[in-house]
This record gives sequence, C-alpha cells and structure tokens, in this order.
Amino acid sequence: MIRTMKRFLGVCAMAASVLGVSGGALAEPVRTGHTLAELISERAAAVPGDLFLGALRLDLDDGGWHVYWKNVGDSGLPPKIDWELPEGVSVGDFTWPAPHAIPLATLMNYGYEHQLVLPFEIRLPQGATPGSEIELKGRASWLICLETCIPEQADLVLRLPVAAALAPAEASGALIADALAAAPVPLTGEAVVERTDEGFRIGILDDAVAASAPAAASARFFPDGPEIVHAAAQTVEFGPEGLSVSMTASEYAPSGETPLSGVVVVEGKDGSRKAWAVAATPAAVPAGVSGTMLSPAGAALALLPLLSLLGAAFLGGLVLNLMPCVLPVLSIKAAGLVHTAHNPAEARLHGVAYTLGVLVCFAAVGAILVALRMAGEQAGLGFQLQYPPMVAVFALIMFAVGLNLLGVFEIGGSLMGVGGNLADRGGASGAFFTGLLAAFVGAPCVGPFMAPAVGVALSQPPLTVMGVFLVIGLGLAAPFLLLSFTPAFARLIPRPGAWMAVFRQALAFPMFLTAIWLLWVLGGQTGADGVIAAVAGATVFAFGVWLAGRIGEGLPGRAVSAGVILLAVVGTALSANMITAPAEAAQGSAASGGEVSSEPWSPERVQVLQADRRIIFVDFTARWCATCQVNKKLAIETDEVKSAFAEYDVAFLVADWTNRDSVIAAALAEHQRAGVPLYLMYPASGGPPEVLPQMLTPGLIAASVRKAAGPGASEALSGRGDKL
Amino acid sequence: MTMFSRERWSLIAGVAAAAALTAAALIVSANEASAATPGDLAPAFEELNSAGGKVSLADFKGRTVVLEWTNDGCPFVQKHYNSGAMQSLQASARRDGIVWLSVVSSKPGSQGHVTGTEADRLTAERKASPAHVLLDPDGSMGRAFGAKTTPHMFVIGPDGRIVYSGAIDSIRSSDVRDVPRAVNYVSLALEALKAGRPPETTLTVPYGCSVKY
Repeated sequence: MIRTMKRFLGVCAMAASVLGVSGGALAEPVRTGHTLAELISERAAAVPGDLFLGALRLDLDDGGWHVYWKNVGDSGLPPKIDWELPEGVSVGDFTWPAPHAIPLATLMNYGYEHQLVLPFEIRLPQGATPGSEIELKGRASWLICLETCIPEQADLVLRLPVAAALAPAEASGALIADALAAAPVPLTGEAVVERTDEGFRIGILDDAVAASAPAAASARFFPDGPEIVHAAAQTVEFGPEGLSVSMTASEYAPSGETPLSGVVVVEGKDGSRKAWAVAATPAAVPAGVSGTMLSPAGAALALLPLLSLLGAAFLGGLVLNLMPCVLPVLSIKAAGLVHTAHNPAEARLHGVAYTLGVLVCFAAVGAILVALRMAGEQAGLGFQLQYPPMVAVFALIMFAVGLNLLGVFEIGGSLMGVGGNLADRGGASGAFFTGLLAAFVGAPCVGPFMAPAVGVALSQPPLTVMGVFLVIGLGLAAPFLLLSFTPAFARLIPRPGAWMAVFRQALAFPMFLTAIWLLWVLGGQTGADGVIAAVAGATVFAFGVWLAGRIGEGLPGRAVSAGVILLAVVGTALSANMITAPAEAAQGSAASGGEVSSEPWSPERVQVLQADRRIIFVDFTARWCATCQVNKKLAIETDEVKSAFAEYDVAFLVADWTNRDSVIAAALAEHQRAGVPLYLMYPASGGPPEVLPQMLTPGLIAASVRKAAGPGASEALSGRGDKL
Repeated sequence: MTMFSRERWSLIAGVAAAAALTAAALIVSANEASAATPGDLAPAFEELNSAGGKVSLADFKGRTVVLEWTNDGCPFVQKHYNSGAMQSLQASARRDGIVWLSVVSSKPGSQGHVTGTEADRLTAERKASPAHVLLDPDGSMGRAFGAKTTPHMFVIGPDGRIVYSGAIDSIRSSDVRDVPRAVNYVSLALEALKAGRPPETTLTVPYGCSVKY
C-alpha cells in the first residue's frame, strides 16, 4: 500500500516536472530494481547565499533488503553521490543516522532496512538570482543486499527555485529532521578504552548515557573502523556513571593501546534508539560504568530477562514431560518410582541419580551443540538424531530396554556402562541411565516455552547456553525429583507384590513402540537397507543375550556373549553409517506422506511464491520430531485446514530436517529457533510471516490463513506491479 | 557394598563428564575469533576440486599459493573478471609457478554455489586459469581462514605462512572503471615474494559481497 502510494507520488512529481509546474523544489524519484531513490530538500524555495539541508532518500523494498552504513561491517558498500554541481554551489558530506546490526550467518553488516535518508548541507552562491532555478545533479550509487547484492545507481536531479524569501518544504523537511534525530549526538562526557584478553573494553562516562540505563533493552558499539570482530557478541554493562562494552579484537586491530571511535546505540525496551558518537582514548576503564549486565548486544539479557529466559527454560523442561516423545521413557521411571515408593531413602537417592542423568545428558547436548556451532556447523536441537548411526544404536537400546523389562535378560555387573537391572532391582545407576535416556529422547522435542528459550540462548555466550540447557534438564527431572522426596506419594502406591512384575512387563511395549518410531526415522534417512541393518542388529543382540543366559555364569561364556552383543551394536552403527540413501528420496516420502499436497521448501521457492502474492504455509519438520508428527496428524491433515488451504490457494511448503541441512538450520536461526517444529504463515501481501505456536489446532491454522489473506485481494493485486 | 560403589562410580563419572564437556565448550569458544592473519601458518585444508579430486595445502609444500574466495553472481567478483584483471593475474601467477586456488564457499542453494561441472564451465567461459577451483559448500575452509567477502584474497608463502590477507585492490567499489586506477595488493605481494622481500602491505580489510555461509 505504502509502496503504491510512493509510486503514485513519484508519478505525480514526474508529471509535474514534465508540465513545467514551478513554485517548489522538484525532485524526480527514480525507481531502480529494489529502491525508489530521490533527492529531497528542506526548502521549497531558497534564497541567495542560503545554507540548508538536502538529502538522498532511498526507499527500499521490504523483506530484509538493506543498504549500508559508512562502516559496512564485514561486507558491502556505503551509498555515495558523484555530484555535477553548478558554479558556486557546494554540497557537504552525509550525516549518517545510527546504523542497525544486520547479522548474516557468521558475518555481521551495519546498515539500514526500509528507508534511509542521508542529509547533507547545500550552500548556494551569494550571486544566485531570485527567479532563477538551481539544478543539483548527481549520480547516486548504492549496494542493496538481501542475501545477494545488487549495485544500483540513479541519475538524480533536484531543481530548486531561488526566491527573495525562502519557503520550507514541509514533508521533506520532516524526513530530514527525523534522519538528523536518528544520527548520533556528540558525547558530553568522556570515553576511554582499554585492551583486554579478548580485545577491547570501552567505557563511556556520560550522564545522559547513564540515564538511559533503566529503559535500556540492548546496547551495541558500532566502530568507525575494522578493529573489532563485528559478528562477535558484545558484553554491555551499565553503571551509575555510564556504560561499558567489551568487544573482541579483529586481526585488523593494531597491537597495544589504541584509540577507538564509533557510535554507541542504546535501544530502549519501547524500541526507541539513542545514539552517541564516541571517540575513546586509551586509559583504564573506571568502575562506575559497570555492575549491571546487559549482554550481549542485540539481545538484552539484564538480570531480569536472563531470569525470565531461565524461567522459560524450566517451564519448557517441565512441559517436556507431557510431550509425546518423552512419555515412553518416563514409563521406566514410573516403574522405578513404584518400586522404591516404600523405601524413602532409596527413593531420594534414585530421584537424585535420575536428575543427574538428565543433567549430564543435557550438559552433553548443550556442550556438543555449542562446539558444533563454534566450528561453524548449523546445528540445532535434535542434531543427535540427524546421524543415522545414533538413531540405529538408539533403536537398539530401546529394544534392549524392552527385553530387559520383559525379563528376557538381567544385566549383571559385567556390563557396567548400561547400569543395573534397569527399572526393577537396578539401583541408582539404573535411575541415572533412565535420566540419560529421557533427556536424550527429550532434547530433540521442542515444546512450548522451550523453543524461544533455546532459540534466544543459542545466540548467547556458551555459559548462558549451558545454563539454559541445564535448567531445561532440571525442569524435565523436577516432577520425579519432587515425587521421590514426597513420602505422602508412597501412601498412594499399593504395597509391592506380584502386580509389580506384571506392571514392569507391560512397560516393555512402549519401549518397543519407541524403537519402531526410531526405525521409521532411520527409514527416512537411509531407506529400507538401514532399517534391515538395525533389525538384523537387534536379532544378533537378542541372540547375544540368549547365549548369555544359556552359557551361564562362567567367564568365557560371558566374554563370548558380550562379544556378540558388542558385535550387534557396532555392526548396526557401522552399517547405518555406510548406508546413505539419497536425501531427495527421504524428502519426497516425507512430503508425499500427507494428504494435503505439499512441495519441498527452499528460500527461493518462498520468494517466487511471494512474488506471485500467494499465501505460504511452511512446515519445518523432521521424522524424529514427535511433536511435528502429532501436529501433522491432528491439525494439518484435517478437513478444516484442507478446505482453508484450498479456498485461499495456500502454498504448502515442507522443510524436512530429518537429515542435516544447513539451509534449513539457517532459516530456523533466522526465527531465533534451534529446532523443529516451526510453522510460518506468509501473508498474501508479502512481508514477514506469522509464527504459529508449536502445538497446532485446525482452527488456529485456519484462522491464521484468513488473517494472511488480508482484508481484500485488491490491495495484493495493485502491489504486483512493483515486481516488474 | 559392591552396588554402592557402582552408584558412586556412576555419579562421579557423570559429574566428571559434565565438567569436561563444559570446559571443552569454553575452550572452543575462546578460540572462536582466530582468523588466519599474516605471519601465521596457514590453516591446513583438504577440499574437493571441480574434478572431484582431493586438494590439500600439503600438496603445494614449498610453493607460493594464492587463495581467491569467489562467487560468480557477486558484482564485486564480476568487476574483477569483467575487466579481465583477475584472469591476467591468474595467468601471470601460473607463469611464475604460483598455485592459484579459487575457493567457492557458498552453501548449497545460495548465490555462487556451483557443481564441479558448473565451475569448469565458468572457468572456461571467463578464460580463467586457476590451478584448481575448490568446492567448500560447508564453509569449513572459509571459516578456517576467516574469509568474509568475495573476493577475499590470501597469499601463502613457500614456508606455509600467510604473506597477505585482504582486499584484492585499494578501491572499494563494484565499478569496473576503478580497476585500472587501483593498487592491486595481490600483485604487489607476489612481486615482493618473487624479489625475496616481504610485501609492504600484508593485511587489508577485504571488500565485496558476504561469503554465503
């Protein structure tokens, strides 16, 4: 709509200039590929010797297209104008509004989206004659990027009447005033910078800066030069006298003490921005500029937000207990609880061991995830199930646990790593193992509360990530921990007896079902061959435990059966690793599985469909994501959704993350997510998508579709011309 | 009694594992910012070339190696190929026995990503003469070197140390007319190496499109 209006205004201005209408400054906006460019002036008429402001105005296409600040960050090019000025007229340098951080995978750019107004001074000669017209001509060139970059340029003209009395141009004047207001103001206080192990710590001692602290949501330092690693997290602290920012030095930083200049931007919780131009000289940073963490720049994490992040993580962990993927494992834990219910000391010990098991697994998942991301992998939650050997071995473990529950075999002391007799006799190590298992299946399961917490956490320093993961684990373990410490609970449970053996055996079946689910995941990754390998492995395993039972207690017999079991596990992992079916096959089957017709997702496909003004529903899913499967069956593949999709011609794209895929991982990261499910509904009018909740209902999807269709189709149609 | 020790063992092992993993994560994070800088040994790499063969830095021991990060869709890369400057630099390097490796780190589906066949077609079309075009779709080599833009140039001396890292030349623009006006840092670095002296400019800030990791 806005774009249409801009076009209309542009056409009006052009028509006016063609008709030779005078009496006001006239610019001719030029439409380039992704920009409407124009020279504007705060004067409708200027006087001889006048000094006033003009500006380059760039209206950018929506959807992430951006142009650059004077320091572009890791890549890009700032806008410029090559002037062709009449005799005696001079033009000054741009005044740059405070930039925004625009992250791109592992790189960082500094620039602007939507609109950039770059003011500059214009001085007219004293000898300019009233009644004449001054023509400022310039070739503006700028680089505009979304993911790809396009150099654009336009020959722009500003025609300005010279009059005896000056006349303001209200609308353009307001735009220029806004741009000036967005530019950094000079610091009244002082700025110092010291070297640290990582790089720089800048201290800004200024009352106005200190006063911005209570309302601050985030802050960032934008250097004028290349001295810092632009993409590295900045740690911001506020103190009574101002703020300090710790940054990582880049390879371009001179060694030793060095001044550092740039702009510090404090973003308020209400979205307002304040910017100061900073020229820091080398000196020790005083204590008055630290104390309250606000870290890292970009995502505010003062104490309160950090607590709410951890709170969300805890809730997420708690809710995980109800998610379909964890339920089967919890049944083992339930069996353990039942058994120890009448022995409070043992119950407590088991509760703690179970919690430790959960925590160790979450710590491991968190640490590996951090390490993978440090190494540049686009890993997210559930990465452990993107490796076929892991899935195969895991299916085998589930099968083994099932056999154990059925009483087919008992695990003695010789098989140390697996722990005791898992649910029944098996002491604290059994509980520990159960905790490991619950966390391992639970971790890929992104539920409510947890998705945003982990998404935000992954952009934070490693310690915060670890903290969030541990708290999720704590949340997952909390109910059982609580029950183990509640003697009242014991009274609810019947006295031990024969019923417990039956109960335990019954619990074997959820384990077998879990194994089948994992085989289905494996099937998606490796095809039938991988599944056959895993089933063969399971058979060898069963043979191994049977052999162990036959041969008896002797050491050689133990060795032989342990060897057979080892062979089963290693063989399964190896064969699953070797068998790699084409990923397209897996994608195809996932896509065709539903009754609602869908097609594979790609960023390019989204762009094409958006250009066609289609509503797009994107389902980021994976076979190993149980929540995704539940949503698919109960919400997406329903008559209500099908008819809504048909009525509004919704394009249904499926991004299948069963296998590793850096493009999908990057798209998830863009929405601050680290795992699936993620559901996006792009409106017909273009622009950013609506993010739907992790647990879907048919009504919710249908309502979102109607919202995405917008108030009417006419607007969507009128916008189409822009893409030409 | 034995059971108790087993419990202990599990707990101790668990706590130790958690501590070790946390420490490992912190160590990894501390190394995050290390990029290849002049004077450092170049990170070892092994990538597939356009013909599907493995190419590693060790293959070129004792020779000068030039790394050129490239993306044929990037206007800054086009600036240097459309002017013919990149090709003539490659040809003169080849005459001097220097190994020129063009590296494509665009992830699949992003601008500049090419298959081996497409890479060879581009080389032929542009009359380029790199020794190899290396395909780095997972970006591992790009990240190891800290490659930020296309183009981003590295010169590695015969001793395996980085001699030059940065922009291809001195004028940061996408305008082909700037090529003859600019100082070409790579060509200066190669001349200096040939003359047996260290180049004057060893580190500049690269300019161009972002590498599409």
